[in-house]
Amino acid sequence: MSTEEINDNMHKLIIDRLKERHRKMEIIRGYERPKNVLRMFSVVGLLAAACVAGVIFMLPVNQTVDTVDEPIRSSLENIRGLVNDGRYNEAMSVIEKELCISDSILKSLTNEENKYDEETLYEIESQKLRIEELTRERDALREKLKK
Amino acid sequence: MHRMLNIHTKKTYIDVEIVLGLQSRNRDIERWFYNTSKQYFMSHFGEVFFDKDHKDAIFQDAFLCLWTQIENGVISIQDNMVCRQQRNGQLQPMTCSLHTFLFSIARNKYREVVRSTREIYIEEYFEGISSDILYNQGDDDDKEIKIRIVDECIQMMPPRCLEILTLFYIEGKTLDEIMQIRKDKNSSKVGLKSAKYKCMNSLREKITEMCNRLNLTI
Repeated sequence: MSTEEINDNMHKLIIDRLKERHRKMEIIRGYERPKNVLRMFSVVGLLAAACVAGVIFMLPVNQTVDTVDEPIRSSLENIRGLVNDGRYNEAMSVIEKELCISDSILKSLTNEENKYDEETLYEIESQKLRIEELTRERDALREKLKK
Repeated sequence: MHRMLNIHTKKTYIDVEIVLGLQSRNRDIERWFYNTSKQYFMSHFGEVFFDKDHKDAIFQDAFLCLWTQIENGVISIQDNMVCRQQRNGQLQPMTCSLHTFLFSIARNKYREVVRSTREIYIEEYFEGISSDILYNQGDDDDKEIKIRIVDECIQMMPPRCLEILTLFYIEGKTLDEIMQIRKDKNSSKVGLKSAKYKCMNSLREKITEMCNRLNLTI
């Protein structure tokens, strides 16, 4: 077989398998669409309910401005919020705390025999990923603090 | 056997049924498996990722990888058990459920995403990914093995290469259209053209390398 024929066959096979992958992705996107529509309606519904509730509660007079300090946010998804606000030192201490917690959980889950039930396996995988993501965020934050 | 409950239809499928259903392209089982896997993934890994799009993309990529392995016969049924082909070509019963296996794929996909966001040459990218290609020495014909090799190499491509090649070759977009879709990701049309060429070239080289190891020609 000539080099040209080999290249041509390979090209056809690559295109064919890319098409197959694309077909599967379209099917997967199809499964997501109804959920997105439902999600959109439920968000709109919730917002509408919140507005109505807000109006009802605001009707009584003598509103005063709330000056209570924002509580320290400790959940994983708020770390990014702290970084965006420029509160780098706070973000760093939250990350370190979360890393410590995940590390402790992971240690408590693992055993010497390396045998686990399904639930424990999921939890181990979850904690490992959490640690990796937190470590990545910590490294990026360290770079920011250096500047 | 691992049974997963669908709270909506109360229909459950065991892993054997899922593998057979996916191999026969049963749309109901495909949809059911996707939805239950997603629910399970979000409940166990939902808190790990900061970015929702990131999380969705990783899940979908991992699901696609598992689905392809099942369709290609890398994961199949033998003696009424779910088995996976090992490097020596032997089928071994899987020691975990399809869900657990899916999550281990997701973890590798996550690492690939992290790698691809850094400045890295395409060739280095391929070398850095550990190949999970299974070399069959059984009765499968050469065509099936070549398909697996190509699928595996496509799965290993950096996400941006996958995007560019799909937009160009599958969706038939022009370079100008691809520049618009990808917005600032490519500095110029010449840069995009060069990236497309490099992506395809690296993919071909990887496939050739894998085929040569097995004395296969495409």
